[in-house]
Amino acid sequence: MKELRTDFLGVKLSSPLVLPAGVLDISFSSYKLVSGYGAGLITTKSLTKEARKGHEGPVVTEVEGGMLNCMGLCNPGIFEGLEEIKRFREISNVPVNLSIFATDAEGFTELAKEANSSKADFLELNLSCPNVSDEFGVPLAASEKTVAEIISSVKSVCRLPVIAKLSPNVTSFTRVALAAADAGADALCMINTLGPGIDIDIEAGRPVLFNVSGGLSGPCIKPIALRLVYESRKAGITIPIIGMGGITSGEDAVQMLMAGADLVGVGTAVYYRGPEVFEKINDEILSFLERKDYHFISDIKRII
Amino acid sequence: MIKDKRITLPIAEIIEETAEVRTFKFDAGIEASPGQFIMLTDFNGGEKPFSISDTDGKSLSVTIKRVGQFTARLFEKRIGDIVSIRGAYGSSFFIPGKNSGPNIDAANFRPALCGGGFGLPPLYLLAKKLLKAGVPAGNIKVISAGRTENDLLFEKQFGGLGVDYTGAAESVALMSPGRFKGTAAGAFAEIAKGVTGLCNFVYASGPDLMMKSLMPHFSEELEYQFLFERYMKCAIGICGSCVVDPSGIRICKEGPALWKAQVEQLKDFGVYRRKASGSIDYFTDRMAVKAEGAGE
Repeated sequence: MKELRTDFLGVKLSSPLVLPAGVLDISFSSYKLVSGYGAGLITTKSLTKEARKGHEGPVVTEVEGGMLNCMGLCNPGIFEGLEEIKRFREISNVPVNLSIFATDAEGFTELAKEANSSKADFLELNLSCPNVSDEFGVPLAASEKTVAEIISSVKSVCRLPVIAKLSPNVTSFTRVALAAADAGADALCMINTLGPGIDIDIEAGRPVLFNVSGGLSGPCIKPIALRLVYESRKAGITIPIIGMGGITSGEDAVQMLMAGADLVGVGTAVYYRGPEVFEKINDEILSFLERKDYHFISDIKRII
Repeated sequence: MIKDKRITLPIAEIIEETAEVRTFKFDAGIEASPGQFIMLTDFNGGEKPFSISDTDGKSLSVTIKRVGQFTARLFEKRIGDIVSIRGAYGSSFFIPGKNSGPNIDAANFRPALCGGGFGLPPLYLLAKKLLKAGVPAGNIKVISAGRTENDLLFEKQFGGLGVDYTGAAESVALMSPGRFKGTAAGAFAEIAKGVTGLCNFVYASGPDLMMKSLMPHFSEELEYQFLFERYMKCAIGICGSCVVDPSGIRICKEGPALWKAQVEQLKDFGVYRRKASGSIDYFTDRMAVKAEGAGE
């Protein structure tokens, strides 16, 4: 009997697959759709204090090997966002990871207090949105000090396990990861989109995205995601890691687990394989376990 | 390999339908079926979905109403100006013998095509394709509803197809052939449903409340498809902006043409829609139903 069930920070998940922030996660109906296809953990859209409509379109453009997006942190705000979790709770037991975004420790802490009364299982701090630099400057995850400040402040008020979502677009990724762990993060989530990058429409002579640049996701970023998870483990990170970046197939997911992840995010693959991708990847992981005579997800974790 | 191809090209033709509605034609060979839509941008801020109002495989038309900043900018464009389109996206309307649906052959297919205001253009392409599939022109009842007679779109085009056309508006002074004083639902009850139960399928396209108003006039077994409009951003099924409650149907992928069984599940139909932020916007009256998103 092969087993996809796994334990994450004391919560039982039916699968190691995670819906990351930013994909099909604006409303409870989307959570339901994705969890119905077998995602083990649902991450909400990153919620801010007030509603944000996001950037003007175009906000996505497919590029070779992936996609650029600059949604611009559109979300209904923390109040309505928590209502969506409540509605989901009425129809499902699949655990929820509440993602929040603010610009400083104070902002994150204020949102984290709201999270205490929510129906969420985990709190994820989005320290790494690459698409709002015009508005907010460099991602918070660029600075070890800032990351540590935010996490300790949030930890001091929040009853939920705290997950720090890190940016790959920094010079010393593992130092930031270590700083996050030292500051008390219960788990790390890596990686957010890469870049950002630019796509140009040569007929119009204009950037395709109205925001000019957007975060790169999809199969082309997988090798970098694998390396950063691997290096985090090498550098001594022992807390759980949600690994993501270009995971599109069961083979990709197995690679991510072998690199050192405990859970695996699947986002842009929804574009390539539909929301059914969670069911497909679950089946593909099971086939792999079968073929190699492994029994549990834990048998292949950190194998390299 | 990139599967979501964008086509950036000059506008080939602009047709003024009414003072506030224009058809833009492009020499783009996009495969498209009635009900499907494209995303259109001029790279100056905003990319919006528009139903396809005509296509012959070589050229493609969308019919656009001036409702906000984005469409106002489109209305300043001239033939030859460059815009960019991608698609066609989404599900399409049932055509007997062409795609799956009820087991009715074209000769016995008696559809009512009910459009509210700006919902008419996609029904024009549908009527053309139904005729092409062998549905007799006399079997096709088109009900076009508008606030006033001047809002009745595509009257001439539908006339050219020889289908049974009725324009419904409260402003109609005298009942006459092709005219009905009242709403879409009123016209449907009188014309399409009729005493002899003439129609055996309904297509509707228009504001939620207009489509919903038809439903009390449907018999239990009547099969239908409604064309939905929700705030869209990615149009490729990943951002979640257009997902409807509580089923998780993505209007850009499983929609915009939804079947009766899907419509019956909807909780938000005619009640609310989601804004660009994802927050809920309740329809308080008809005025809340706009063609171009609920501007935040």
